[in-house]
Amino acid sequence: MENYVCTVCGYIYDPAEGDPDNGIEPGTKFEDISDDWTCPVCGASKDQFEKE
Amino acid sequence: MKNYIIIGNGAAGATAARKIREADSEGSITIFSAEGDPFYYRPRLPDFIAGIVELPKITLQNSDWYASRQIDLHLGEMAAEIDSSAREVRSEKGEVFGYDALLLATGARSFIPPVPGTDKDGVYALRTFDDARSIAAQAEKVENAILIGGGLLGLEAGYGLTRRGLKVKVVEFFDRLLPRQMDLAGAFKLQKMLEEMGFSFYLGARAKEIIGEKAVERLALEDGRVLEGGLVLFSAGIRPNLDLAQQIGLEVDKGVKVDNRLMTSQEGVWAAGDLIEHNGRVYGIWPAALAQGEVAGTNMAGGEALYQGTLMSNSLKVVGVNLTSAGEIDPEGKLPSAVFEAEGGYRKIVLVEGRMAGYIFLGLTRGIKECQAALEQETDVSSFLEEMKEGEFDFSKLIQ
Ligand SMILES: Cc1cc2nc3c(=O)[nH]c(=O)nc-3n(C[C@H](O)[C@H](O)[C@H](O)COP(=O)(O)OP(=O)(O)OC[C@H]3O[C@@H](n4cnc5c(N)ncnc54)[C@H](O)[C@@H]3O)c2cc1C
Ligand SMILES: [Fe+2]
Repeated sequence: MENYVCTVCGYIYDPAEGDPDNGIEPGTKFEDISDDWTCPVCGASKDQFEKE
Repeated sequence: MKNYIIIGNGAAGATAARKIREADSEGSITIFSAEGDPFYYRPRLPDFIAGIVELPKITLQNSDWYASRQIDLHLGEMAAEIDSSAREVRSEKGEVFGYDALLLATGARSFIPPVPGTDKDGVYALRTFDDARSIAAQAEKVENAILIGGGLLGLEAGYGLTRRGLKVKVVEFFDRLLPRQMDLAGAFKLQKMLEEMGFSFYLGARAKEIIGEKAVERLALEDGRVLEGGLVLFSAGIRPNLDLAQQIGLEVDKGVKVDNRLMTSQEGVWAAGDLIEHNGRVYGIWPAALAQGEVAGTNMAGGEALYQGTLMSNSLKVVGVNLTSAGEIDPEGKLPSAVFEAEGGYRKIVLVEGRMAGYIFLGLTRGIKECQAALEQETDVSSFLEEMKEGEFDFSKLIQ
């Protein structure tokens, strides 16, 4: 599974960790996150992420 | 159909708009924004000054985003007046809109201390994109900048200027850097690192007067020293924008008082972001404004959300420095702590009653995540006190 990086703030989404504070379980692939999820650091939308 | 008005299109206001629309696809949403730029990531303004990023790169929601969600965004149009008995907002252009739910998300502005000469050309403070544009333009014309206030935000802005090749002279009232985020040893190390980047420091000093014909030419300090520079940047803290709140008689102390649902003292009027005071605290940080915008937006649209506070952590976004601190940092060196020091790096972990109470990481990043988790869970780490003084300490032990 691949990491994705937020192009606005630099936050890295690591699928192994997920984003549990926002309901994304560890082990969730970036592609499987719902489209209304936003960067937990800056609030950028999912389409503002790139493969690391 | 419900009418929503949001005043301010920053982190709090823009996030609230998103939440309202998610919950209510019908209601009319109107936003007033004093700034002419779309919703952008304010913490990266120093990188714009540095010439590293442009506006589109840090734009979080552009005009299309609002249009496609039928949100009526009035960029560059301030809300001038609220009539809370008629439930109406009048904009500076004289347009009047009625509301069922109103959100004050007016944020904060830079505080400029009463130093004579602040009206001269070349004197700035950094809060908005427009400020950043003016500062970047001036930076093209001068070689020396004077930064008044050596806090995190000031140092980041100053770093932006050093990236442009300017020399930055920092005037700081305290006799050391970052008294709230750093202990003495760490602050000294940080100062050395910054000096190598083009900063120089005037600590324990106070600005007395800005001198210059029409534009700034130099700054006189109280102690008699005089600094040359064609750009003065104030970074002396922020003040919440309370004008509208006061105008309609909301309960205000350090900020606009809100309950856990982020409603103000007036039914139907909500507040979120840098202007609010929640449980006696005024946050002034991005993650708090985002979280508050979510809560306020959800509640305005009829949902149930409670704001539970935001954990404070500080970091200095200066490439090559990597400073992060959180919690109790024991500035006086009185608490049990595990300190590790190496060339270009400093790490301190502070314990209170055996539990993880705070940390400083300077020039080192391995272990921050684990320490933060241990801090949030108030983990008992007393058995690792000695081990943590080793550079190679395996931090995963803290979260097992
Ligand atoms: C240079 C800089 C760096 C920063 N770095 C960090 C960081 O690293 N980490 C961090 O956590 N925080 C940081 N911050 C703080 C963070 O940006 C703020 O906490 C956050 O922007 C607050 O969001 P807000 O929505 O409450 O207010 P704001 O972002 O200030 O937005 C409020 C908006 O309302 C507008 N407004 C005000 N009055 C009216 C009116 N009457 N009518 C219409 N519009 C109005 C304002 O012009 C503004 O656009 C930084 C701030 C700056 C300036
Ligand atoms: Fe981000």
